[in-house]
Amino acid sequence: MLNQLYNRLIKSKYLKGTILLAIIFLGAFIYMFRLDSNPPGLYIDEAGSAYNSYSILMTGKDEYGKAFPMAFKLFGSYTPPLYIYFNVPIIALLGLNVFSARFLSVLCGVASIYIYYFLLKELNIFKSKYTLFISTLFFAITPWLIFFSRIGYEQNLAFLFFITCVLMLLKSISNNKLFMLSLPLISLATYTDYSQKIISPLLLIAFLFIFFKKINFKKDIRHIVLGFIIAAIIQIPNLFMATTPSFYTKSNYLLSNISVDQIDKLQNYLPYQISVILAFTRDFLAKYITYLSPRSLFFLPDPDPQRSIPNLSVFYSWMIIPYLTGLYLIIKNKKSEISIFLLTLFLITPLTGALTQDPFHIQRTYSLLLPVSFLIAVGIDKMILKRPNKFVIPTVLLVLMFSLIVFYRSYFNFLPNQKKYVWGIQYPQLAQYIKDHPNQTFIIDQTKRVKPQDIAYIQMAFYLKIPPQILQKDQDKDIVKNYYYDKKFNFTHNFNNLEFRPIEWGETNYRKVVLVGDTVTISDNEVALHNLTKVFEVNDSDGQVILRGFETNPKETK
Amino acid sequence: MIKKSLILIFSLFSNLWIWKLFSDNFYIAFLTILATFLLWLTFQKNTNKYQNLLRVVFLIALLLQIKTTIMSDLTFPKLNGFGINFIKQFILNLYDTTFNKIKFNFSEVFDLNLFFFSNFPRGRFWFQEFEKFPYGLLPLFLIGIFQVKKDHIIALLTALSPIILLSVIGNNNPLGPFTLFPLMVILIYLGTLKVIENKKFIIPFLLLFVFSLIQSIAYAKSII
Repeated sequence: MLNQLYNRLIKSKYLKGTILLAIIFLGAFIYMFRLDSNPPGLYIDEAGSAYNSYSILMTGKDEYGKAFPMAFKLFGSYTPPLYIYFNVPIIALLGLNVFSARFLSVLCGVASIYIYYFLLKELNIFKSKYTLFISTLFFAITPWLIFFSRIGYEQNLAFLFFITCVLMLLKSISNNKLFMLSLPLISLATYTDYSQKIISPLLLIAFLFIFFKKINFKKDIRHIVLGFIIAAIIQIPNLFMATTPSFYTKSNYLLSNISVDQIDKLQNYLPYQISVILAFTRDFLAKYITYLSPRSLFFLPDPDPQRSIPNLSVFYSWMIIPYLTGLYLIIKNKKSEISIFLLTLFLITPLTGALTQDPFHIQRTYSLLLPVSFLIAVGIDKMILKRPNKFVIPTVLLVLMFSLIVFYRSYFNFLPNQKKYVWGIQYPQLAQYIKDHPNQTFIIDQTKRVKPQDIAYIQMAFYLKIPPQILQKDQDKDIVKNYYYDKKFNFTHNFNNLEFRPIEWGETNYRKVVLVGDTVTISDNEVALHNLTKVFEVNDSDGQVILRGFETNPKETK
Repeated sequence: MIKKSLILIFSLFSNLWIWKLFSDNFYIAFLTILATFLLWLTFQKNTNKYQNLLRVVFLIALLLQIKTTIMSDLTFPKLNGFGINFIKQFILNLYDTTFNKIKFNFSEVFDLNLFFFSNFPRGRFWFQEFEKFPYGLLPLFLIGIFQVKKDHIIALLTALSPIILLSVIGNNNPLGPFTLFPLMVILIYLGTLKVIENKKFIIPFLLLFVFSLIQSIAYAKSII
């Protein structure tokens, strides 16, 4: 019965749109469900991006006081600027809060589903009438896409640009004028995130290499030249940045410590230069293979606690079957230009991850989501063709239900319990306490080597909606002068009634303040020694204290 | 035939894994070579006799794989209680422990990095990973996959079948998942056969192989 209904639906153009709309609504619902409370708290990069959008909105300058920067210094990362600028109208509309910080990513996720559907259609390689919708449906609920659609920084915008560029390029084969439009778009994509600075130009080169003969350059030369000129103009800020150290903040990730260690081992057998080349080759190849490996894509999460969902990888485990089927079919059919293009996408997108240190970094290789999803779609198409029609819809519904249950359990049950601390759940509660006690002075401990989740000033600026002018006033004035040259970053700050710095125990003897820190910096011994009074405490799900605050009692100190 | 035999010998002995097997357990090394040879024969001449022999040898190898694997609580769920409690725990543990553990084990033995990069970069910190094949053989292995013909499928499935067992018992074995060794070698063999058809590829592949072999030896020696 389901199949009859589907067959009737599929014949009508209007109803095709309805199915696509239903998939988009499902995606939008998943991306927005409990958006402001899960992931719990707000990761430092989200807080930094949102607060800088707020700062641009209020003053036209970033938190350091730099007017409309070409890359945002944030915590010394010089983040490509588009997400922060695009987020300004959303912050203006919805205010500065967790929901508005993440909402742009939701929109990008939803738009990606829509574009993915048309991309599949454009590929025109599927034999089954079901494949387009089924593949779009599973793309919409892929853990990788959902994860970044619910996070308030640049990754999903970068992916939307990437997928749009791919669609525009493929469409330009039949309509050469679109090639003109795709050039500025590719150029703009390099301002969305670091990996797109490498992937987008490679995409263009690969496309030209494969489809060069299909584009009539002579006929549309004026349009194409215009496209190139606009793309070149868009690159001017990047060219300027390339002359400054800010452009190369990620370059120190290039050779891992393991490679350096391996060079030493090899030097006993081979000359130094060859040892360097071999150590780097092996390090690179091992990581490159890891990005394409089923183990990383379907079974293990990213090792980083912030970038992972407990017990879930970036794709569902069952997707390994269509993935391997699709990969095999595409390689077998390597003479077709579309197959070559898909394979090229598959091979270039992990490069940004394989060139850097981490074993599997889902942020740096987010573009890989697209070619792997294509391969899964090819595999699904093959598998559907082998099954009688009546089994297709019930099987899809069953797999969909299973996938959503697995996802719900990992993302909505485990993640908020197991990763509270990483996502900074302590800060909304601290901000609330500060709001309730406006006359007290707070010293929030910032030890010398803070982890990202411990950097508190931007979290407090976000949650307390500190006017950007106040934060800008607190910054070192030389930072604006040497904005793109001086990569140093300072996490000690002093604004309003808040001081972000290491605690000096001597001052507890004469100052009435609230000291905020974890159990290491404010240990029970220190509490007893300085006669401190506990005023609040934030606990993890397993009862461990993440953050606590103590009032000093200067007069009573022995 | 001589060319094929030479390539088989090259595929068999151009890796550090077989030498480790020889140094640690001669019988297992011998059995592994026998299994590889039988698999190669089955690929040459797909007869029932060879297939049955292959199954018997693989069965013995599987038993030895179980015997040499150090199984821990992580492999099976710990179940306490009786009656309803037991069933409840079993069902609750089925997905969280058993299924996840099987998935984890499967993904590990199905991973090329385990065989060509001694499990780098996602190696186990609690286990002494060791060099198996030099990564210079990886392209040959990948080319080999696409040389498998329909007649080879049954022999291939036999050689791949240890994955089911390894998914259950895990890969906590100082000799590695040696029951998969024959399959790896035969795919490298098929890839080598294909590559040497085109003479211009021989020198680059040979250079890559020699350097990666030296590298593997250097890394392996540094562990010892």
